[in-house]
Amino acid sequence: MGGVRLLVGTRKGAFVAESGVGRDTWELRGPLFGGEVFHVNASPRDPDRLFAAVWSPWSEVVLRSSADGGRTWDTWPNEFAYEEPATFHQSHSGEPVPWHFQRVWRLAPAPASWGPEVLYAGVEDAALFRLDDSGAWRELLGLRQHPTHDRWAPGAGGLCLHTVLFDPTRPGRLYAAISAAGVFRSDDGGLSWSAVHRGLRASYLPEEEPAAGYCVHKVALHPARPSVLFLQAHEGVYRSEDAGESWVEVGEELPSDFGFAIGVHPHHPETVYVVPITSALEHYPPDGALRVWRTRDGGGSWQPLGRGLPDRQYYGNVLRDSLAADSLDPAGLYLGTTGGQLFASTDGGDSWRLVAGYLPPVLSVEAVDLP
Amino acid sequence: MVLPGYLCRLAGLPATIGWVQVRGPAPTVGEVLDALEARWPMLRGTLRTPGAPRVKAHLRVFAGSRDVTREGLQAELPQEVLDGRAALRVVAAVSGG
Repeated sequence: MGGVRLLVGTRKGAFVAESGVGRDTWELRGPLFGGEVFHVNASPRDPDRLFAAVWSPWSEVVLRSSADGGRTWDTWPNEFAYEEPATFHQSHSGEPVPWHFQRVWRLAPAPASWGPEVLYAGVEDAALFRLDDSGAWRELLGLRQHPTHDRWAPGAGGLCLHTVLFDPTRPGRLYAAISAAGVFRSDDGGLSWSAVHRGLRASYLPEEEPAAGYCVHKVALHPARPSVLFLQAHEGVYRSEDAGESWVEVGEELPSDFGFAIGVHPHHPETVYVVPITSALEHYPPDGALRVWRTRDGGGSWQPLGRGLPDRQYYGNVLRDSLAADSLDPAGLYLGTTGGQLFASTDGGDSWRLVAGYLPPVLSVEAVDLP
Repeated sequence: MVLPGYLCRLAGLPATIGWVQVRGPAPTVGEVLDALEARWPMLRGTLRTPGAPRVKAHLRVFAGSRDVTREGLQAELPQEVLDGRAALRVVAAVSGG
């Protein structure tokens, strides 16, 4: 036995793909639910226990859970109410607007090393919620009360809390990234937060070093070295050696400083992957050639990888949550596109094969090792 | 009362719920939804945004033939609905799909 299960969120429901350890043939199930599925994730304690964040115009957010690897699903607590007091962020044009709950972007279970399972949800308008013992979602108000909150403004995708990362070696330390606000770190399980985005660029703001407003697209870390962070922003790819206290740009060799996805190889903490996208206006890869770029030295040098990927007239995008990896040896890498392709690589990204070619636009991919 | 099909499938309900019990002399739409969610907790969060005065943006509410959507959760139910001669309907608006 053993193998991999891919959890794929798309604009038209969720899909589950399963394969044995060879990862050469895949069984695909779906679409599940209908509606837009921003994220499907699995418990780190039980790969068959799944959580899904579904959005439709009628119900807005409906969360689903499965105890059998996605064969059957139950409804789950759906109510997200911001705590008092109300706060105001900025609109696209800078006017103050009150926080308004729109959708769940990220369902993030804390690692098993943290103790009993705790589940976090990153939402739009940007806030972090935690599922409490009574089964209700409670906002961790400290983040939305960060002194910079009135400087936060939506990116093109909304004012979304899209990244929740945990330090598995230090229970209580987690990171949240918000577009367009920045990166925030908590050392007490999410009660209080520090802004950790010194060194990032934000040329769309007038100040040299604004206190907030950074359009961070995605942050990644390796669980064995959790103080080293990698970040793809609206402008640039960055590395931090000190848990986010300072950032250095490492993407000068890339063909574009724009992109969404970033991921760290599961076995090699200095091997990082990004997918450069032409620009904020042109959401397709440079020259219409889909390429994953890899560094093996933590950002010092980068190589384009494209064997098996479309090399011309390709105009899909790779969104921020659509790059994933399993933990087998060799590791499998997975890439979902807004063109509906789901690609897999089992040689570190050198070559790619189609898992599925005609899915709806892919919003997120998670890869889960099966025992 | 009658719910849209996607919510019935979600909650494992028949399309028409025979009745929900609401106490008080002049029950409102909001009180009926309270009773509905108390009986079927999986519906919580699917009809209303906490603290909001009306149902979600792409839902409509009809009490018999009367559209009470814009009257909000405080709308009182007409006698024909209280008598069971007409249904309180929550409808998935075409604007949502």
